[in-house]
Amino acid sequence: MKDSFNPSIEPPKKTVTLVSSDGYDFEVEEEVALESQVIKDGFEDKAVDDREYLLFNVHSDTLELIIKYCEKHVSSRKSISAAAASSSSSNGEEALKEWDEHFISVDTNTLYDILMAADYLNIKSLLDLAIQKVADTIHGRSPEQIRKKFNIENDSIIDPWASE
Amino acid sequence: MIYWMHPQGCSQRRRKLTVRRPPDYISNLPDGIIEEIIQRLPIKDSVRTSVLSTKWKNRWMTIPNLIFDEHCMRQSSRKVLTDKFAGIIDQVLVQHTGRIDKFKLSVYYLKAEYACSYIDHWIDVLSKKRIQDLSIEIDKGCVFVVTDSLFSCKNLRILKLRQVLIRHLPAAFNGFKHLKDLYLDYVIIHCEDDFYSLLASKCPLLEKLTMKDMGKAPFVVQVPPTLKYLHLIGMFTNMRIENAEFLTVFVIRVSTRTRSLYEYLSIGFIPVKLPTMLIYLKEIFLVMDIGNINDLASAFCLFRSAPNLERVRIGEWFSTPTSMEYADLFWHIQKKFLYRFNKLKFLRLEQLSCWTSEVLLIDYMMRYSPHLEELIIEVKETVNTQGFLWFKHIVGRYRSPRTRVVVKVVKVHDRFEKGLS
Repeated sequence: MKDSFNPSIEPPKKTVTLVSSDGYDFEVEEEVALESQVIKDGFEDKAVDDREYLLFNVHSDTLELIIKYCEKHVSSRKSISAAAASSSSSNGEEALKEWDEHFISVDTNTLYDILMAADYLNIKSLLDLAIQKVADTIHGRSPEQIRKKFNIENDSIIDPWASE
Repeated sequence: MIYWMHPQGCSQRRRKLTVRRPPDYISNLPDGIIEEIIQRLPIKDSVRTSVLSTKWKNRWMTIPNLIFDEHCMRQSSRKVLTDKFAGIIDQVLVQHTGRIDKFKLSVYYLKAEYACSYIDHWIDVLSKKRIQDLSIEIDKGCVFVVTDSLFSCKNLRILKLRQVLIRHLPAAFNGFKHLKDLYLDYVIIHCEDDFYSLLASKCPLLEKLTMKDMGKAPFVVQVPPTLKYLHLIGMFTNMRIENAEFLTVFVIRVSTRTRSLYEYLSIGFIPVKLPTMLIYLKEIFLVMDIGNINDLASAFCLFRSAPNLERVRIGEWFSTPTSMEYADLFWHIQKKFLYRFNKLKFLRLEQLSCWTSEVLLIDYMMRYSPHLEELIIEVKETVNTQGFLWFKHIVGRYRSPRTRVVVKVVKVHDRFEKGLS
């Protein structure tokens, strides 16, 4: 509606509406939503005026994070390729990596939500990032520390490396 | 941008729901994700996940990649194959129930009394698990003597061996039908002729061959016609490569001072061109002595045999300030057999000191590379200032507006330093 009052030079960006499990609507740009392979796959089949996706497994808190991630990745991909085209040097990829690292530094609860959502929506780079975060958390910790971190109930078996 | 939509009558729906989750988040992840998490851990941590809880007990046993390297043991015993370490590997292989795609053993030296028979036994187990990617890398101490078990790994796609002795090939061996990538580093081969002819005829998919510091270098190496990437590092005397006409990438790195590039390519004299044209060759990386006329002649012999070169990278590991007289003579002769780098797009020269010989090489290559898109020059901190000015003059004179020129000043590379000592 906004566009009809404000005729700009650029054509209005196509948007998609994502509905979280707790009923919030999120309107996002099409290319941001297409970061999800699941949405991308279903995209061609959908009618033009029906651009709403009900995400039964994703809570609004998580969906907000996921959208933030996708927006960041779409925009930095653009700026990286723009920098490459004008052959000016940029540290775009490094900066994005740093951003990712900061983004995924969340508590275990949120990390679980992100993992499940990224798996459900099939956003490969995000799933990858979250899996690596879990692996990094386990790496180098003793079984007892891991159990504590993830609330795993203890039923002990012999550790082959215990006496090493 | 996120727009919050407020459709009317939705206030009921928008009430936040409290989601109850089990307190144990990670154990309830989908199987695929858990497998992926375990696979990304060093093997020691992967196996250890089995003690977390009953849910985790068997999870590690199906991971397809088993890597035993310095991350497996404590700092003090790092990279040593002790009896204890070998025992753990044994145990892991016994308990593993799935398929194993990749197995890597990388140790500094072998301390276990029966190390060779241990490794032999593991390879035997792996061959039954249809292993595809096998690495046995030993740095020092004793050499692993290959037995028939290695040759029974019929599904190998990647094979990497370091510090290994191959005495003979089993009579019944019929080649590695799926092998794509073979890496040999200090591999001593007693049955050379058999080995190389087998390489050429019985490995129909071999694409990449790397040979590094081979103790006793073969005289003639036949490679299969499928080979696209050839990487030679170290000391080879009078070696001739045959059958390499489909190569697309060729890397030669000399790591000792006593041998030079020309010895790879020629026996006695340097031809103008190689007997076969390398028409698919698109990329060459040479580490050579630009000041050595023989090296230069060999490089140009290679260039002339490769009419479709697109990327050339040359590293100077040992520079001799050649006298003008010789260099002039060489470039004078080059004009007789003029070679134009008509397809060349990327040229990278590393570790330069801007000696006369180097500047003359740049001069020639700039002049006869009409389609050059990118020129990267790395000069050493200890660059010859006069030569550098000359070099800048040449670049300014011959560069086309389309060419992007990057000049970097770098520290003397460790790898190259080793060549000097």
